Amino acid sequence: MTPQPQLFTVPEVSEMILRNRLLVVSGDEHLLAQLPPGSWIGGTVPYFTLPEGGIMSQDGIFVTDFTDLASAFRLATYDENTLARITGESYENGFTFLILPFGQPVHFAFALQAPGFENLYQNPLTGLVAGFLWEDFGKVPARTYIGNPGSSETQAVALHVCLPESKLARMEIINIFSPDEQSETITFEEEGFVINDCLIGGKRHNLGKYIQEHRIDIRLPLITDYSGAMINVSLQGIDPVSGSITAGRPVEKNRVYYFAKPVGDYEKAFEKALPEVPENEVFSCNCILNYLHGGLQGKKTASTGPISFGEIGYILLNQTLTYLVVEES
Amino acid sequence: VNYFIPIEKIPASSLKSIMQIHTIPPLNHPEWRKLVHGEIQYTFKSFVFQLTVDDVKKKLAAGTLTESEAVERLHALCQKYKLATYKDIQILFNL
Repeated sequence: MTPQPQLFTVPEVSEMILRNRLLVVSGDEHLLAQLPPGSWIGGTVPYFTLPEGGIMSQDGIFVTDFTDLASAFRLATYDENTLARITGESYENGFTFLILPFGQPVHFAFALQAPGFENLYQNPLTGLVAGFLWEDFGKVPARTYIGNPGSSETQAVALHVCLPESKLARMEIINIFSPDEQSETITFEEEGFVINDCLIGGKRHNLGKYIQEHRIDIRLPLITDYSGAMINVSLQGIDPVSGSITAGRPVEKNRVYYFAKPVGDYEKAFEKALPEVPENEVFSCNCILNYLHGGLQGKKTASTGPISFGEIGYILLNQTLTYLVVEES
Repeated sequence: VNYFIPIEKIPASSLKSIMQIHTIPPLNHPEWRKLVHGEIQYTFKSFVFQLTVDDVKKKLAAGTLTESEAVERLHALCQKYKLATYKDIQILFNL
């Protein structure tokens, strides 16, 4: 059974590992480094959503236990050159849990390449981007773990889970943002993480300068419609001189983006979108930017789990809550 | 105790629902073609269908996927997730 959503100590998690439990763990580096070898993957994450509310902690480990679901499993590591194999290495029926280290080539490679992965939609590809304490941005690297001593600053780690025929995994998202009706259309002639010029309402602008001139809140993402799925692009900063913007996921040509409508109360927005824990939920995570911008420390949301520096829902997502359910097929 | 319920004892409305849940329209149903070409604007409720519809539309437009491949991908996904998607299928195919 998956343990109750709470933070565990190193001895408690070690005991689970030594009992051959199949785990995904999230926690601070100094905790994960103490765990014994076994069937687990992990990533550095010091923020969590617990039943009592959002919390920053460097003293506890969040555990997701897939032992009772898995009829078989494989652990794997990937770098930017091998990442495209990931969907081919999943089982015929199951799901894959991927952890990427923030800011590394494999993180960017996933963002750029995942939409083109072969058989991407055959099984849910879920997971998170490992991070660090927000104050340590740029000072401390994120780390991933595949048992110990297998920790890395550069490699992605994955757990491929095989489900019995009677079970089926499905993943869904909750996006509390929507396009602002007042927003002009925004299109891009170049794809990538760095945004300079674009067409706003059909006229060429430097996006960063446009945002500054129009006093648009940069904490709000750009948003585009993938045939009903609202996909965010978070804006991580504007260069004051050039107006260049670094985005949390690449913008694409041939898509229409909008500025997002402000969200007043994130806690209420999540409560409205997801009033209770989805039936048969086995994993969920929310975004660090929702946690920080929405002031979710101490606030409750229905789903519990680690707070990610980017969410994985087949593709790289930003400012989105994701959850995985396993149900009868 | 006999747990077997003769089919004639199942209310017609329930029977229809049971049959519909397990029936995904065949590949040659014209609505599939319309869906992958964007001639029907229908939003699936489930995330994987939204992404897949978007993906096949994009690849069809770029010429990297044929119409039959696009339909097969969507059909296979509906077959896999038939319980989760039966409401969408009912609306889309007017079942």
